[in-house]
Amino acid sequence: MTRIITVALIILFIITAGCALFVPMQKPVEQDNRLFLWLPGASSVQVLSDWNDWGGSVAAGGIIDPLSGRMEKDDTGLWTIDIAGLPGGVYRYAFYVNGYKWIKDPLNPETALFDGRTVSIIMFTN
Amino acid sequence: MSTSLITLIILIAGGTDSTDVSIIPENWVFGYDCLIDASACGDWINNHPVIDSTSVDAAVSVSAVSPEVNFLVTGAMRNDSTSHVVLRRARGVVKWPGTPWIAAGVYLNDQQPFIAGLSNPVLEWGWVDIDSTKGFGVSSGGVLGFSGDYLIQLTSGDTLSQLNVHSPWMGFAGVDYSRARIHPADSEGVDITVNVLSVRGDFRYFKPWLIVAGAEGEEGKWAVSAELRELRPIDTQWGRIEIVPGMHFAGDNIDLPGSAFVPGQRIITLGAFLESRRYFVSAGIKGMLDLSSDSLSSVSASAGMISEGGITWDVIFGYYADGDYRAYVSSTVSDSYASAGIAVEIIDDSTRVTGSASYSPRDDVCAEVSFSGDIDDSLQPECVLAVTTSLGPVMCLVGIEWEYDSSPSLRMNLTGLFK
Repeated sequence: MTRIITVALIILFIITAGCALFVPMQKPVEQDNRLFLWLPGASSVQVLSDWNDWGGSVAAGGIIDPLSGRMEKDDTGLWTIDIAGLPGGVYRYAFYVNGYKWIKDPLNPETALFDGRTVSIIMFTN
Repeated sequence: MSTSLITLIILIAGGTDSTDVSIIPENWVFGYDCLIDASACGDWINNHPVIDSTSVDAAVSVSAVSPEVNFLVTGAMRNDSTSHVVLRRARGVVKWPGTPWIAAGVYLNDQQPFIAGLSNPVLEWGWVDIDSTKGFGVSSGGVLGFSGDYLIQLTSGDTLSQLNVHSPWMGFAGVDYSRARIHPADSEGVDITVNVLSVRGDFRYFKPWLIVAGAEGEEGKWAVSAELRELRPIDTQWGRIEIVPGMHFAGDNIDLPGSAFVPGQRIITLGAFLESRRYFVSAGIKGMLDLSSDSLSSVSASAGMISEGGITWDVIFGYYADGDYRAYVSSTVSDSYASAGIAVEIIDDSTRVTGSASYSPRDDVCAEVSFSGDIDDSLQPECVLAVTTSLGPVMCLVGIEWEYDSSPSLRMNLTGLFK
């Protein structure tokens, strides 16, 4: 009997863990014009892109402005930024985490290259 | 820093506080900021840190903006051998408002040519050295929503001219035309001209995008990219699936300063992308068929998700016609104080595993460590330890990197923007 209970508990744990592992998190609000990154422990996250001269890194001087494309962290640890209002066009972007680490948007399957890095693409028709 | 710059800042700061008679008009907005970037690099030798290079870069910017004027001056100093203060960037634009509006401006290290493509750009950043450009520009707009600008600059002795014309969004389409030409100072240089027409349409059920690029000179200097976007056979409240057919053709002699086109390419593409409106999940698959040769034919797929357990998944797979392949799987579990992740990347015969962990004792501090190595005979591990802080506009990094068969290297960086 003890063995059956143990096996049942293990199966229950695996199912529960599996649900937590592979069931997607719900978005806080339905908004098409926001970028999201789940990184609660990061000290800062910026969006560097063609629309902001990659944070100033391609401008004269080449220093990334620490406030350029700064994302806001909500209470749950989700970093967000509103990108509505950009002119129509194709833009490459990447997340700049903790002031030194570039990562592409894991929730965007479309990618391109910038300066040898794999970055993400977003398009606005108008 | 230059005394004159600091004096100018003090004058402007005092000027905004004037409540009596002021020389500053009411509709002007003044701003100033100071961007500082300091770093030091070195090695860890015999149990002691040894710094072998340092750099300090400080830039002070002063701006004044009104409906008629846009003025920016950035002075900078770097601790090189001269330590001179330089005028890094400047812009002065005067605008005559109305319909049509007209503007004219002078620029120093401020206007860099860039033309986007459908994925990679037709004209990439850095085509010219931004620190060597100076020129004059005019712009106009307001007639039926059209706008345009013409800019002529001197860059490293060559002449760079740019023309951009933008149409308004006409309900179903928008058109942009860009032309960039670099005329070399000497006869041995290469005269490059790039013409790009970009058309975006919206026909309700799909949105065609077309980019036509051409360079002047001999035959075969043309390129065309087209995609149909937002063709959505499935579009529900849960999410949508978008089918994206596309083509990328280029002449045999095209040589654009961007990565959008390869000479002689004949490529057709078909992609399908899933995006959820309610959940953090997405996926995509894209096939590329190279009609001219099989060298660029490939199939790639990717998927990403944030799970309820706070795990970020990122999966990428690519297979190329020449037999090469790449697979990447990353999983990171995060909460408010700590995170841990593992990533496996397989490129042909090489398999690299990266493990990472971070700890955040408070919101603005993060300590990270990552370890990676190839799973083969050599392993050749690498280890990175970094502590970062972000206190408002000031960011600090202290890091140690260690690679197999070499001594650890140190990196310290402090960047701040003060307004």
